[in-house]
Amino acid sequence: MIHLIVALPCEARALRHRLRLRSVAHRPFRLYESGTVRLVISGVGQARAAAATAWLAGRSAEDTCAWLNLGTAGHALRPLGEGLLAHKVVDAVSGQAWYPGLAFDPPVSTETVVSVTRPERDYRHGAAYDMEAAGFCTAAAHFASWELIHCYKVVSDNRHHPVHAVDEAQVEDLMSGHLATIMRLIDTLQAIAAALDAWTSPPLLDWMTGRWQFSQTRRARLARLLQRHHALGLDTAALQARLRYCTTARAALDAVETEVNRTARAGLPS
Amino acid sequence: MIDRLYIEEAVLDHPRVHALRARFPRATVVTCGHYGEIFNRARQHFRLQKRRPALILARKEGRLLQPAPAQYGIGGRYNFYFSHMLNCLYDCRYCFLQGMYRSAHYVLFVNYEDFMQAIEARARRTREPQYFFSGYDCDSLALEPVTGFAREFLPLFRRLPHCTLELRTKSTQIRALLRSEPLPNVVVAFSFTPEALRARLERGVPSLDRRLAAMTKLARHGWRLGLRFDPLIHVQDHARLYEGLFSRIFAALPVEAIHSVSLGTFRMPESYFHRITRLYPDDPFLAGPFAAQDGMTCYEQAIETRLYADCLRLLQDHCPPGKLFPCTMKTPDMDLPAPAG
Ligand code: SF4
Repeated sequence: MIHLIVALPCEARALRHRLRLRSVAHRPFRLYESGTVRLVISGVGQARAAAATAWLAGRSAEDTCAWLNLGTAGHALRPLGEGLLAHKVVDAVSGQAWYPGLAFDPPVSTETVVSVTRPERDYRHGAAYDMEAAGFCTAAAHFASWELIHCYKVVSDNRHHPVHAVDEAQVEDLMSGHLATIMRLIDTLQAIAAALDAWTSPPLLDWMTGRWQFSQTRRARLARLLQRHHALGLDTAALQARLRYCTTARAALDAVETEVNRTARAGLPS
Repeated sequence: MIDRLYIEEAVLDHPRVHALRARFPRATVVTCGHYGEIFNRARQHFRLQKRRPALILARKEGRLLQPAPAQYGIGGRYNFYFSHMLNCLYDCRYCFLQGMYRSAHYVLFVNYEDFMQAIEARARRTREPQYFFSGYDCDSLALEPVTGFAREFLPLFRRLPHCTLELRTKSTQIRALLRSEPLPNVVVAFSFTPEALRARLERGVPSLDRRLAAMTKLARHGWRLGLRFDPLIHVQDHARLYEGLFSRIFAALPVEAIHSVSLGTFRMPESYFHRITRLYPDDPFLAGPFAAQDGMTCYEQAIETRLYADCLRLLQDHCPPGKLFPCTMKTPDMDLPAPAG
């Protein structure tokens, strides 16, 4: 699952159409969804971006989600329409910094994104300037590891084309020009989130917990035993067939443990 | 190889940082106030980061030398370790660094001069032999072309003949050593598991053949070598595999070049082990027959005892007496895992 946080409807429109996202909520934020993508319109500013991120996390049941903040930004030197992935996000007021984790080859140049409270006109530090990324990072850091939290910004204004000259139609155009890259980024982040899920969700866990009642402690023990069973390359179907004869949760747990320990004690195959 | 450099603002003008930036001219440079903002903060995924680690350049502050637990020594009374670098180019599944750090980025502390001062100050305190271990939080030589660590520290130890430096490695990066006169007080210690396990447990580590070739060159050049069989791995047919490993190594190396041989069993603080199993729940090695004992995770007692006894016996058939330091079985006072490298 991936969650997209976008400040303005015009920044999201092209992507909504491309991903065929349906509207599923209007308040307190507009939310669109389809398959494994959710997109929320946060409104402008760090506080709104943080609130929308936390709100979306609260509505989601998935264990592992990727988070992507999309939008436009100003930059002193970069040309209009250039796409940038943040390697550092700074809150211009507090000076606090976050560093999204680049576990993949970035599809575009990376840059520092400074989140300001008013549209930036001086573009001082050779960084990209936006108004949401820091708020988004503050909130998203509670819900995912940094390798799954990213900010993608398209340059909408610079010293030659100041921010007051940018209108909604231009923003929509700029974002449309980046659909292919954004789609690639979404795929990459979703693949990473799926890999994390696959590593941690052992086969048979849902089947066993649906069939027998386990306390929280026993469930955790069972999950690790099933992970070990899988890691040791043991036959899941054969185990499942044997487990059908177990009448209690405890007997099932013991049966898995016996099989896992017997194989583990034999040593790694040479 | 390195395409991102995170650099502490305080070391931006350090000559070593200038040299590294010149070495990686295309790398993206990201500045930070303190390396901890990137390196060990919460909510990072070591396994994901290991796909694409960055190099962090920082200054090491505070205590630069730490006492090393006596049982990791090679016969000396004063044992210290120091870490000019955190993390490693390789990816060994049994490595405690994965459990100790949240981050897989490489941190290089560029203030070598401070480490050298600390070592010299320590060296001046007694004329008795002192031992300094460098491969605790990293592999001492794997990133030598980048760090120049051995190249820079060898002259220091030339001036401190009563102090021994142990470089612990699995790499074949020996050029700096071959360019230097051999020093009798430097031990280049290589660690091994049977070759059949290398591809599965030690990603990126050069083959046994390549390491033996490097060790042979070092021996010819006059360097003293250490052999570290640590951790011993519980594998089917372990006696045959370890006998094969020992015979190949001892057949390839001149016995007079061997300074010390040690072996040790797998042990790791429980908290690290749990963290690693969460990172690699699908790994067969971590699914092994482990048990908790006094806060450490190790093989179940019976397995550990047999593995250790068998390997020790086999090793004694090859290793000249006086060179074997077999005392890395876990003991009640053990509070640190074995050196990583
Ligand atoms: S065990 Fe040594 S070589 Fe392997 S990853 Fe750890 S430090 Fe590197």
